Amino acid sequence: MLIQWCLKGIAETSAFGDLEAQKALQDAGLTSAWLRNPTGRDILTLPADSQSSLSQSALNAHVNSFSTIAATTPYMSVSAGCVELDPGKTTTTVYHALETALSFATKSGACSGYVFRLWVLVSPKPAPELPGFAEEVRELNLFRQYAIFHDEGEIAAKLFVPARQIESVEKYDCELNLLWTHLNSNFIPPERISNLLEFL
Amino acid sequence: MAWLPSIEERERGVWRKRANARIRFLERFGERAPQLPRFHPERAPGLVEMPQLPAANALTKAAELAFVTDQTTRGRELLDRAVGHLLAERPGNWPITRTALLGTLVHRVSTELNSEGIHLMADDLRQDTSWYYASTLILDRTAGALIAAAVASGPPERTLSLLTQPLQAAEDELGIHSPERLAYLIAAKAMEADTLPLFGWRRRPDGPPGETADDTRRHADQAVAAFLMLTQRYAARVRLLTSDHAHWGQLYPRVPMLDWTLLSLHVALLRREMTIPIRKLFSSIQPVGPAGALGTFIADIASALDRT
Repeated sequence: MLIQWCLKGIAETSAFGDLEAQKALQDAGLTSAWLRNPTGRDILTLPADSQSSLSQSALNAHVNSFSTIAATTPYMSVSAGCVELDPGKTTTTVYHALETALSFATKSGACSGYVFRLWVLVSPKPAPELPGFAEEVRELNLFRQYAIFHDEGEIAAKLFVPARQIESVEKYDCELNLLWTHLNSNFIPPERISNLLEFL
Repeated sequence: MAWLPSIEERERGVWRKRANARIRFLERFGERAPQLPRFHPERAPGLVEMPQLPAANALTKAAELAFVTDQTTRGRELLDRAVGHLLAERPGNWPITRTALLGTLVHRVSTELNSEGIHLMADDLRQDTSWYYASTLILDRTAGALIAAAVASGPPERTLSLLTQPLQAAEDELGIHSPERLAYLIAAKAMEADTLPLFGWRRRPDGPPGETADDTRRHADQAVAAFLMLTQRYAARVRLLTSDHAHWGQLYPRVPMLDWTLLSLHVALLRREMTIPIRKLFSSIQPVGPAGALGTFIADIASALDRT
């Protein structure tokens, strides 16, 4: 397993403001639309329901047809940045995760929003049906299907990201001024589970 | 008018509005990036090698959007700020090709290629990269851009002596494989080198380029043909970009919309006083179709840049 730092940009709306942003660090974590819109499901059927919702086709729809499943997708996009090749100019272009996250958080400078810094586990092989770890959609060696917005450097988390994996949240206004930063006092750093072992 | 020809007239209102919104975002990101925690060298020690680069990238993209939506003055100002961020890095850290190409367009960087290496000069600062350290693999891909930057920086007998001076026999043990000779060979085969007759240099049939004895039409013809090929190449690139509807419609192309190398060559032509026969020849031979429109578009931007 790999551990990947990521950023998640969320625009400020009537449904998601300062309170919700800080609560994400306290205990709520960040949740997918599927979890936020249960429509008849309850916690007892969550394991069975999530099993049927996670699939390769659901991931494909999330990546390439998001507008059709925005309200029900069990996946949640976070960004880790990306490098694109330009064969025409024989150069590479780096797409920074922060620029992508800020673009989403502020709707390209139209509103204020939040950027969360978090880590997720990433499987070295695709397994969109299994919960518990994220899918590295940006990795073309693993996900060979064409992704329209590959340059967004997407990592697709599943169902939710626990609060303890979220290090901080920053709020930016539409001019990209950093308004405030909140750190998660209960944050668990990824070093806790890395394969670097201390001697006895 | 300097609208990218692929943007149809009926779409220009929408394009301008979207472009301005995106330019504003990129401008803000460019201003803020060096101070943001992710890119600040003090707040992220060890992670950041060139903290100014994200800002330069964002402002370059913003400048490009301004240029393709007929906002040349704004584009030039954004480009100047992008170059400012590149030059804010300490010499030695300047990205060579990007600094050379963009810097020369705004008169802030001068580029010279000689037998020793690549030399970038900005006011009192300079960055020298010896051919011993410049990867020939990278040079193979960027030689055209460096040649364009050099001819835009001044007369090729001074700025491009790598090609315009007779190649000295390598005295070291590497002989024909010396870095200087390899650099010469790589630069000489770039298509941009074929445009040199328009700047007063032609390739001798028996060896390296030499100064033209006269402005014979045959040599100028070949140089103009090279210009047309470079414009056709740009047209093919734009066609590919417009086929990506998702990105094109959002003004978020994955790769640059502007051919900065071709733009530099046009600026270089304006900065050099072409002889009348060559000027007439160049004006009379223009590609037709989309490439022709793109050629005019690039020439218009070059004129506007050269006036400022």
